[in-house]
Amino acid sequence: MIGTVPPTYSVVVVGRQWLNEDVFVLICSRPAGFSFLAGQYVTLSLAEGEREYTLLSPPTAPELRFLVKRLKGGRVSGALAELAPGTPLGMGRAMGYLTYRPTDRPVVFVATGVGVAPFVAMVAAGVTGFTLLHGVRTVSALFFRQELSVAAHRYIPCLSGKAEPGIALPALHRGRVTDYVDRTFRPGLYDFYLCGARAMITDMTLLLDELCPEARVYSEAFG
Amino acid sequence: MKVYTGGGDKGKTSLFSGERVPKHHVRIEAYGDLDELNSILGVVASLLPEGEQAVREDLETMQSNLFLAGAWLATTPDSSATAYLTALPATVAKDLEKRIDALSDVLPELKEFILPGGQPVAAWSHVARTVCRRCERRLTGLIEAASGGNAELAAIQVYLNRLSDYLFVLARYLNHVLGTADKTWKK
Repeated sequence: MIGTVPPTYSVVVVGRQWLNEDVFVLICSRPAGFSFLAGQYVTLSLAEGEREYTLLSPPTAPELRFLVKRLKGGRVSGALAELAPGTPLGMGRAMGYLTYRPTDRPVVFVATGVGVAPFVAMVAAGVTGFTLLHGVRTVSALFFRQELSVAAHRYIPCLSGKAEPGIALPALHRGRVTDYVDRTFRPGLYDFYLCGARAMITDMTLLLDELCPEARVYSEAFG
Repeated sequence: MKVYTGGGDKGKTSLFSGERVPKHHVRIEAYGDLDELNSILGVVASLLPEGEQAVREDLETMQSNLFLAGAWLATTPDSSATAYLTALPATVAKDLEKRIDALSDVLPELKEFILPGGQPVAAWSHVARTVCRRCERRLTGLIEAASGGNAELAAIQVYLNRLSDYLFVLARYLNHVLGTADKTWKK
């Protein structure tokens, strides 16, 4: 069973980098004694409440970076979008098991939206040679495209929104990540890592049960 | 965090090591039984008489240990996922033996088979004992079927063996402190 975790550490907001109009990287100080694995998440606590955010940083980073989506009416994400540098936040210990497990099998990362965060952390920690499917509505949400496509064996942006004029990306797939897997994957010994919206995790898991029953599937859902 | 994912709606679930398996898979059965045992320990704890703080702490320790054990049962031996698992404390069986001895010290010597029952809290301890024995049977089956990587499973089996002994003594102890004598088996 999963319960609440009281803040263990105190961190300080260092800065913020906006990636598009809704999503930003929150940069915080790294407290002494804090350790984590690439792909893990923490609970950030502030007066408005607490939420779980995945670390973008590799385990050796001097600062902690989080990928945050400002939700409409979201108290915590709205507050994090406004906090001034120097503001203290509570932070729990690192949690979660969506961390890279070395394998001889082909590795497939599947993300929707800000669910790409654990894979960014894994790449920052040196993971390469994977296939990455990143499902988003618009090109502006293909965060960290450069870093990810360099490290990936195959980087497949999957755009489910309306076609954007003048956009030409290599290996672009028009449609959802589940459509892409359904059309292109055949049964095999894959290691799939799924992170993103709960509906995608559910649909993809059930699809893989049919399509690639021998695959290993690791997942982390949110929303 | 939501409890449901929907990924199991068609009868499969994930092992901790990532494999998708049917929900009647031997590992799922095994850690499901541990979950059942853990829940019954919760019932026993909820029914404990006032003042039995040491027993309450015993039960909480057991519940935590069963979580650790469940993760091992949910993981294919020798998979990379075992790196994330925590071994049971090395003294866990010895610690139980000390507690068994401490509880036994206040009990009359047992010379005959007794009927499971008595006070509700003691009767539930007997239920926990039988489920613990089932857990052990599942585990020995897993150990026999696996090709390697069973050192931790062997340690868990020793722990479960000792735990069921503890639960038998606990049932007698609870009946004793609540003023209910053992009911012996009449042939």
